[in-house]
Amino acid sequence: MEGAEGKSQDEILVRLCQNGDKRAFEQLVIRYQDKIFSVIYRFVKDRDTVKDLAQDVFIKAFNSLKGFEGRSSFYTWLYQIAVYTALNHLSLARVRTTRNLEAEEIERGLPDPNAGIGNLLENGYIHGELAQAALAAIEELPEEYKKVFLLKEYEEMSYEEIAETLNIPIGTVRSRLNRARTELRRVLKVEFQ
Amino acid sequence: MDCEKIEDHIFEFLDDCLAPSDRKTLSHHLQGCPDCRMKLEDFLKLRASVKFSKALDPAPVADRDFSRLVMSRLEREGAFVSPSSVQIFVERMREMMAPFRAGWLVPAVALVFLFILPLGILGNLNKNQKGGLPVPGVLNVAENKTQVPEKKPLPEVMAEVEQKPALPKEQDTQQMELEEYLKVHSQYASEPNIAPVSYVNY
Repeated sequence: MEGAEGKSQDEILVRLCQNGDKRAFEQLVIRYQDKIFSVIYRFVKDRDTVKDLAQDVFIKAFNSLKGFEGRSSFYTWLYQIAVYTALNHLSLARVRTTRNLEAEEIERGLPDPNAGIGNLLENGYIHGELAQAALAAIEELPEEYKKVFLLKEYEEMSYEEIAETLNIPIGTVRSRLNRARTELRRVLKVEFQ
Repeated sequence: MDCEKIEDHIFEFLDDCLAPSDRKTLSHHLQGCPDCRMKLEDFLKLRASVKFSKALDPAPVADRDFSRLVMSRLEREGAFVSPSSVQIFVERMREMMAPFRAGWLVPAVALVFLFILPLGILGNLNKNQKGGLPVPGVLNVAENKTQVPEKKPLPEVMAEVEQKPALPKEQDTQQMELEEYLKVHSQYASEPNIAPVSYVNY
């Protein structure tokens, strides 16, 4: 994912940023913007919101850069900010949505539990029953398993990178990932046959 | 092997971190266990469907202006405001005082430079017979050509004296004539009333 050369270039850019070089920070933004977009999108399926949240991620990163001591790589540190920014947005969105739905519930009845997948189908993003079912099942995973699964299967991060990003032991990464897979297999058993 | 333990091997296989010896164990077990074979196939299908959904639903990419948007937002929020001269002064004082937080180390190093080095320089000055002050802090031992002769052992010195070259011949002849003269005169001195012929009185 990140070669040794890339990591050392990051270290140089971070040090320059910490000394007040704003062009160095712009280089870091260009370097990681697509990856940050990608990881946020795995959690937040709205493209406009992804762009706003990605901006928030880089602003938070710049403001916290003085305190970055280099114990982890810059890349996993930035990913950590992105994951928690996305999850924080989701938890706030659920609160807002619930409030709205409570009003709607009175008027129209229970909401469609697959509203997220429904949007993707309407927009033509999903083809194939298996892929559809897989996406729905991943959405329903417990959050602790989902985070690890998305970072591993979608972002293709190593165990070590996931452990650094989520600040959990590598053993916990393995066990949560395996539980996510087992759960998805159980849910998708019918589709697999 | 137990199917529960084989499941761990299946996950390691999926993540490409299965040891070669365990690969053989897994392969051997799968040949004889249809349930574990089906389990592996299901996990491979799950991975394929994830890849398929990624291709169908790719993540958005940042447009060209994104980095400029971030930088202009940082500017609006005052992130790039230069620190005041007071802040710069305080920061520099902190940097200067930082080494003194090391406790005893810095004073010890300072003592070395204040006292021990000058003593070394003075010592070089004494040995330096060619004159001129040495460069402070630099001990030019290589340029100090005054060499104290080596002390030789006594037998060696004596041998050298014995082997000393003979005096020149002239000096030898003079020495011999003197000795003979003294011999002659000492004879006369020991026999009284015998004056030398030169002293006969008329």
